[in-house]
Amino acid sequence: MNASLVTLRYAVFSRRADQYWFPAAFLALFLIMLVILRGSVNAFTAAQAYLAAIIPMLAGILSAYAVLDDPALELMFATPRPSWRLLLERLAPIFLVSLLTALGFQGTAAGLQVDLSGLGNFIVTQLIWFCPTAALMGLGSLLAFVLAAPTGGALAVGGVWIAQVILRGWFLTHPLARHVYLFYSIHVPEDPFLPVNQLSLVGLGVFCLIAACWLLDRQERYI
Amino acid sequence: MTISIQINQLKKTYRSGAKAVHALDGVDLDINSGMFGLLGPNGAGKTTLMRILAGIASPTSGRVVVGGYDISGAKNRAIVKGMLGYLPQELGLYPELTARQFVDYMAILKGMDDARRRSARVSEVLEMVGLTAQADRKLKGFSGGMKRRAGIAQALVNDPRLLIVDEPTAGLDPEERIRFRNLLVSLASERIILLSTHIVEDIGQTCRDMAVLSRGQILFRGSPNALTQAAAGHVWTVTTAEPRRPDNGLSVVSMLHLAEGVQYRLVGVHPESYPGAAAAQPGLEDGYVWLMKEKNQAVETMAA
Repeated sequence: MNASLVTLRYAVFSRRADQYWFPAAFLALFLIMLVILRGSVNAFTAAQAYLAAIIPMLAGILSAYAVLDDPALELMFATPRPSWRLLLERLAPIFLVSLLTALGFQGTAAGLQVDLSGLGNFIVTQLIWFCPTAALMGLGSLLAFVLAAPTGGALAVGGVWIAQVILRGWFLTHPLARHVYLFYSIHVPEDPFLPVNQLSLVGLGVFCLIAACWLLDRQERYI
Repeated sequence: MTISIQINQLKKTYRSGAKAVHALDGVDLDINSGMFGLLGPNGAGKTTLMRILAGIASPTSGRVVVGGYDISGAKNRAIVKGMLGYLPQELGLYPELTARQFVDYMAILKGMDDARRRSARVSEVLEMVGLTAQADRKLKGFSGGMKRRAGIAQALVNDPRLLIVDEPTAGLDPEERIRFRNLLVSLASERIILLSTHIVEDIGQTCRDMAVLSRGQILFRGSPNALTQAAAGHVWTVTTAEPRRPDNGLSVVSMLHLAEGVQYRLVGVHPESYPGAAAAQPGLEDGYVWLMKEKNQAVETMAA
């Protein structure tokens, strides 16, 4: 097997099991909600909330733990592996879980005959969860390194997420803040600024990941 | 090919607000192939030095050259990490991986991409540390000694020119400790093995070259024999029925309850207050205690 695939396999199996149970539990919860709400307009709202808000939040929180929660962190740091590679290898399982839960949820919704066509075509539907997930994964990683504490990073990501939920009106009307508003695609899906918002979120995620790599190079802060 | 380490005026200061802790305070050392012991009390700066040599921590000032590479630059640090095997004091493992998977994972992270060669090498190092029979068992079921052996297997998997082991025998039972020490000695002919410990016996049994580090400074550099001989004429045994422990500037290295009283092994300038004191042959532990006394360093003896 290719070394990169083996690395991914080990990265998946070396993580704590609760980091997989956590997203699985939320997936199960929202699937139960879909079953209960099937046939009502609330089923669509629940699906929207799961894809656009829950998946990104979980990915952000898990990303804060991606590197610093590693029990063999000091061993990892003593290898010649570049920081960017270590970070990406640790984030890959989280992205994979996000991808599988998003597609699994949509597939199950289709099986339950819950109509998600209001979200848009296949690509547009994937962008609803992908863009905020990219932003929060980057932010979660960065904040964990800034605070040199995974729990602090996770709490900070949760704080950003809650602030955006509460301050919806302000984010939607502010000329700059709306570009980094995580839930733009579900509140104003027809808005011409939506592509700008989605690009900004992905850009924010990439920027945060670059900054996180830079911080990860300061290895002694984390051991 | 053998390598060497040169450390010049190495300093490391940790700051927390207005408080500064000098973990390393002007360390100078030259280390060549073979087993090198670094001895010192807890908090002496040993782990900081090990981490700097492993490229994980950066010095505040000073120069470290490993195998001709000055590790102040990121590029050279990566090169040195490529020739490094590292077993940290706090060894964290992945409980859900088997020993074979764990060592294989570390081999990949060390840049061993060829699957066939990697697999052969993983089997080889597991054999070296005596874990072949347990190679496919999950690490969560391993004893402390087996985990240490898995740790040394991952450290050896890239055939390192420099092997750094930090407090490797802490928490091991006597049999495991002996096995571990013998393993290290058997590996020492082709590389530098840097053994950091506060257990004097580990150094005496394995190293021909050593240093004593305390409060961030090198107090002694030489052979274990030279450290032992430094205490010659300063080691006595006293047997007394008195309940009070001997003091008067003497350090109690050990005590033994006998039928006629308690026999104390003492290190100090002279046991004037104990006319019955008999001179004793010094051991490495006595040499260490004598050195610490001479340098006015606190030493955790039984009189402390």
